[in-house]
Amino acid sequence: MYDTKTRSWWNQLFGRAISGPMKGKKLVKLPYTMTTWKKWRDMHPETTAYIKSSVPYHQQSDFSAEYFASLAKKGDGPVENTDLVIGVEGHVEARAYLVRYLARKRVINDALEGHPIVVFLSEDLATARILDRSIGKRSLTFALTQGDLLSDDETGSVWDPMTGEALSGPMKGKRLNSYVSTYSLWFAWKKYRSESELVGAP
Amino acid sequence: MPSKRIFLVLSLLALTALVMGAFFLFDWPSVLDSSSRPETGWEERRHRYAVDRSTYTSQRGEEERYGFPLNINVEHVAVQDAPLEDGELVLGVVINNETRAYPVNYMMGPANEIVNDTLGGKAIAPTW
Repeated sequence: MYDTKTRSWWNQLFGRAISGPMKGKKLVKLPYTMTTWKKWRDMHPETTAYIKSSVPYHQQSDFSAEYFASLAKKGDGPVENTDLVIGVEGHVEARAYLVRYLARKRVINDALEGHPIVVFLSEDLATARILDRSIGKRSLTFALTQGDLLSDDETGSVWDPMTGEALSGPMKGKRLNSYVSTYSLWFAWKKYRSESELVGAP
Repeated sequence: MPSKRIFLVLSLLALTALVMGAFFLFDWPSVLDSSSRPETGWEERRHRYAVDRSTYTSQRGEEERYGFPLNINVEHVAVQDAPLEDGELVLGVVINNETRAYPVNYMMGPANEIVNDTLGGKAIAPTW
């Protein structure tokens, strides 16, 4: 990406300026949710939508949840450059999760820079979430209960990973903080974070 | 003698074809997956892109000199007016109680991959 004010060139994936006057500066990544239009509407009935009417409907690609799921269902073969991954950056460390591995596991209890995290992929394989799985000084261990809900081993509370909120049980009303995760193809991620571990690589 | 000259010309042609073939075969993949290259390679590639796209943008203004038309002053619609299908993927963002969905299908193609927008009073750039 380039910006017209300073003519600096920016890496799209990590938001870091790689040349020009802004070299070395980093844009802040904002949290977002990738999901289907229907689910997003249900979660946020007041939402607005970006559209581009100069792109005729018939010229649009058909990037549906089904298509995305088909990418996530690739088999067990060796890691390829075009494999879909979900990346997360800590203060220093970076890690990527192979989406086709995550699609089988759905929930991975892990740690990043010594901090407990849980990586979640929704049933339709469209939404990935990386959440801080600690509440205060206590860390929780998550498993799927039903559909897209999680429960923790420690208290048995039921959590919605889309919002990070506990819906019922002793933790009801508590909220897990979420990390910003990035969908990428493996070759793009590893180019800039070559030290990055790839979780799920066969 | 003529047969020798023909042979020389043919082998020169073959050599040229080989070199050009090698360029087309090996250059572009190395641009796409250049993990082995130092980061400074970007500078060089930037110029290549700038040159490649100059014909496309030669009729356009200074702002577009380096790439595709800027995606600014973008359109938004209310939920009931969005011409979207239920199963389409969107990037959903909430900032300061303002909520917007960016349909991935509107972000395909180089001229659409970056959206310059404002949400909840914050300047943001959803990208795909």
